[in-house]
Amino acid sequence: MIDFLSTYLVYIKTFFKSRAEYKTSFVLGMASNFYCYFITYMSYWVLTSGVNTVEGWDFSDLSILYGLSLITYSISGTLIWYSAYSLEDLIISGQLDIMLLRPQGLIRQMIFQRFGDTFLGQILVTVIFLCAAFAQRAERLSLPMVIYLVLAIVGGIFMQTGSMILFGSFSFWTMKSGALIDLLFYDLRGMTNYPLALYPRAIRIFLTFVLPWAFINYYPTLLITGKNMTVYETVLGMIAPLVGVLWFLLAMAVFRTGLKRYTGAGG
Amino acid sequence: MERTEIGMNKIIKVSNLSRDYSVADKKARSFVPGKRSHKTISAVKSISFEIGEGETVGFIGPNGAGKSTTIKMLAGILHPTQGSVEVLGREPYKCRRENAKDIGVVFGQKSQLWWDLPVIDTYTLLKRIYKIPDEIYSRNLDSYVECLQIRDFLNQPVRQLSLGQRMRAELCAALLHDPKLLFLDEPTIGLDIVVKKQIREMIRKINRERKTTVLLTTHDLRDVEEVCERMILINHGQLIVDGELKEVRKNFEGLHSVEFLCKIPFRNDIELPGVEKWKSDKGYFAAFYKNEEILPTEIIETVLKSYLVEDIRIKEPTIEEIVEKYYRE
Repeated sequence: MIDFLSTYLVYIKTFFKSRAEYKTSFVLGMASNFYCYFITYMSYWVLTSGVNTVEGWDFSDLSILYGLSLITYSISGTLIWYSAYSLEDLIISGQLDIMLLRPQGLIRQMIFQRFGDTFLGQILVTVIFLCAAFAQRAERLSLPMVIYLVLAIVGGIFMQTGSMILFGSFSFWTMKSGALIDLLFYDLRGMTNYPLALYPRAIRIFLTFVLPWAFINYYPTLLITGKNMTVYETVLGMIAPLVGVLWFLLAMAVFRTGLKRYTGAGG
Repeated sequence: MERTEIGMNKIIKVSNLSRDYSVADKKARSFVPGKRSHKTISAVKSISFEIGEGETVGFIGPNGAGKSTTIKMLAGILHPTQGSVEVLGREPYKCRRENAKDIGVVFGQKSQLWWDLPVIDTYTLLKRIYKIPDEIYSRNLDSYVECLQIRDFLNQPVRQLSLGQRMRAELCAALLHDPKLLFLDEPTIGLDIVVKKQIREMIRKINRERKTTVLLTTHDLRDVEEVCERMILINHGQLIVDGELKEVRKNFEGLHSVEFLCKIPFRNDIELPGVEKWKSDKGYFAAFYKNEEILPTEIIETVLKSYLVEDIRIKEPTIEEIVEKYYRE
């Protein structure tokens, strides 16, 4: 693992070295990304301006809710989004075969394949709004809560990375699954950018037990902002990091099954 | 110390190896979900061969013959449907990563270099992925960069390289970790004569100096003639020929010929036992004969008696002709 991390650092260093040639395009890409998500934050700000709240959520609450989703998504994005989302192309082009010919795990190689530099703008804008949100309500950052926040973010990264791997794995079975992934991952996960309390019960249950996107940000935010009303919500908030790890393991199992099918070992 | 003669120590053992693919049968597609009908296609049908350490083998066959499927099974990417495959004492598909450390692969049509990174950075990453010790890495890098004349573009991003430069960089990348076994899949495709020569020389050099076993797939049979001692030919998933290049050429019947440059067209007036057929064309005619039944000198003697001949050429069958004949069968 240490070996993997140090190799990853070497990779990132060389990646940025080679990107340095295209400073302008890099800065522009980052700026447009930044702007795009900045606008979303602004829309929350408008929604909650003055005395308005969304079901009792003010701007700093919504910033945390959206921030947790976006920061975990974009960190996962820098890691594996490009390879996972284009797994189909990797299969068709034979690049997957080349990876299989190396003495390293496939997921690790997918991480090495392409650093998702386009996600850096999102990370930056999110860090700014998260810091602002916590600066406004510094009393929320007790030591246990800081520890919980870190765990929740790590769990969220596991869940987002796992999801990218999971949906990428579909390519082992069927090609052209893009539209389905957009619906399941992007559209449904987008619903958790607003408090789940706004939605009917069925949708809340769906986003908790079927596609558990609510564990990425909603339940942790309830805990952090002290909006958890019931034991049920508290427990879900507590186990959120664990759910992320379990989801990741599930995704890895699906990925391995798909890979076995690809190599003709089963299925 | 055991004998280290070339080919003695068998490092590849393939026995009755078969591989089927299941493909959706479009014609018989059922509309009932889950009842889609499949048909089975056999890409490789029960082939067997062994390759010894230090051998250079040309692995040839027409498109779709099953070459890639076989190589994928040797490399551990694909599981056999039936039969067994053993590489360096291991079943490659059961220990893919262990196997990967001992093999180097070059695909003429794919790249294992990082597109955006300078060549040297790809090598740095490979060094870490393969866990190549420092001294071996720098020794190999120095030596191969020299031999393949890579130094000039070592710091250029891969995407800026010409095909010839890239293939040399690919070959170097495949050799850095001292593989015992080198798989080359059309390594000279699309290259000019000079680079082709460079690549072939490098492969020969590695084989000579490191005793690296080479399995070469190509459609350019000059590659085989210049690099390989032995050839294995497969077609329709079956093994057709397996033998020393010299032997294959010697045993091949029917395509030896004598060509006569002559202004007069051939009148079909000569019959010789051992001569299979005569072919006549503008300005020349040719006798195709069986090597073991008649000597070319006898044919020449006979022809000279009744024709005014300007020039004579004796033609041995080239590997290309031999292969072409097998492909057509």
